[in-house]
Amino acid sequence: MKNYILIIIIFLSINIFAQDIKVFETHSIPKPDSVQIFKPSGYSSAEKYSLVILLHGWSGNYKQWNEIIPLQNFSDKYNFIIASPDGLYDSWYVNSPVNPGSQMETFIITEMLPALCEKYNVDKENIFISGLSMGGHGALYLFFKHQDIFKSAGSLSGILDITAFPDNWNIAGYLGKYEDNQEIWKKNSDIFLLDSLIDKERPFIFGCGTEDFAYQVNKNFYEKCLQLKIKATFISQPGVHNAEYWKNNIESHLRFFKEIECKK
Amino acid sequence: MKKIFTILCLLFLSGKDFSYEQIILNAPYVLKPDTILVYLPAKYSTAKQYPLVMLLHGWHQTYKFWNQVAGDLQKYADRYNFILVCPDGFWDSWYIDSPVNPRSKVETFFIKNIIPTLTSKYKVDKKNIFITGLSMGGHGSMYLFLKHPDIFKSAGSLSGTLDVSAFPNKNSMINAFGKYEVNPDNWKKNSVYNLLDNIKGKNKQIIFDCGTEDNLYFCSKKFYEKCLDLKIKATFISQPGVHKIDYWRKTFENHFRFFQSLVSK
Repeated sequence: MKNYILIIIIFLSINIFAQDIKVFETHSIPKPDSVQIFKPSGYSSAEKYSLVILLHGWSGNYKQWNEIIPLQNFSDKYNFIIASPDGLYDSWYVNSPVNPGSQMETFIITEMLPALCEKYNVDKENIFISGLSMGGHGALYLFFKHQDIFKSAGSLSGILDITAFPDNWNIAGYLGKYEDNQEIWKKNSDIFLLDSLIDKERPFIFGCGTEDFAYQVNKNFYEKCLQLKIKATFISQPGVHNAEYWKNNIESHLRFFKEIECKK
Repeated sequence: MKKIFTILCLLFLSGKDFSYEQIILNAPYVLKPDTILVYLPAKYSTAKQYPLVMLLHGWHQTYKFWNQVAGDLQKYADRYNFILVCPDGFWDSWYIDSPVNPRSKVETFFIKNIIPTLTSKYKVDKKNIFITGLSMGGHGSMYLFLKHPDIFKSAGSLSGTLDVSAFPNKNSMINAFGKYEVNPDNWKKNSVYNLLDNIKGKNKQIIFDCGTEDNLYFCSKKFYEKCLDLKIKATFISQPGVHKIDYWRKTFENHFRFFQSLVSK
């Protein structure tokens, strides 16, 4: 009888926590990458689901987002598959020209995403990406570079112009010293990638707290959107660069994605 | 029997659909009686108190407009557990005490008549009274809030005319503010841009948004820059959109969410 209850409990817990961890081992990046995937509770192989990738910040890992908000609840509420890859501490989600063994962009686009699409019922028309801080940079970077893959993107407290922070967070470890590699830095900086947006009506969203050290680059980024007549949504509000701010604001991105999700 | 039952069911259902109440109030200092729609949350109980959210319509609209924006305000009263109130703004009153028309003291009417009536008739949590509005109503909500920060906990504006003095002698405004060249101060002192100082250092929070293709966009942008200068805690949502109902439909719920996040526990 006791065993029977135990089995039921195990069964329930599997159902409640409809989440997987997939570990990728690849030559593109220096370490195996863990990706945590949350499926809506009612996940059915007969249906297709929008996929939302959430990127963590500098010094974080694939668990960071789930520590900030309970991703399973949001997967259920919005009927999204949510995947949270590991950004390997400080990869900046770019392909490093100075380190051939650190090609994060290649990994995410050509290895992780195809694998997720194969394993899960992902609606390829509805793939979204958002992130915080370094991950905000990463989300918009990958969106601008792969406009055919991502429908829309978001950034919270994003480092939307890495060239404003030449000595911080080991960006130089991936792109080389700023003084000697300014063109490379620009090619990897969101604000300089804005011009590459093909459809200026393509919606995307970003927010930053006014007391955040990243506020000025977000403000500059938005001014450039206005100049280029790019139709972005910018939420400017009180807040600093911390988990409380991200916790209170990531849902506005999920709602934003839900609104522009193709009707199936 | 079946027929009667069906009819009763329909009556019951339709009664649920149209569960708002209508109040008509008058005062000697307004031009005509004011109609106010009140939506109580489905679970409204006289044993509890509820936040109150006032929704102000725009120029040449009526108390019915907000229900058109939201589709059905009752749904939002239920969802947020708010008492939602749509007063009439007398067409082009700009929600002020008109310096040129003694029969258009709308600010006084709101503060001395409408709000006390609501708080005595319903179980309003007086610590949680909010106000928002669109276009002229965005000016109105900020105006009433900035003049009475003791009454309102917070305020919002959608596509608001956040500096009336930027539009001197606009026909839609002359009835309320008078001719600009006769007395420009009537415009300046009633501009919410100039009233922002009233909440400086008061730890008040506000929210506003505007579409970037809206002719009024520059007002909201300027208003926000002043908020930053004065260190007023403002949330500004700057997004694609024009001065149309579809825009308000898309964004109004952000205000309800914002107010909900401020409701004192």
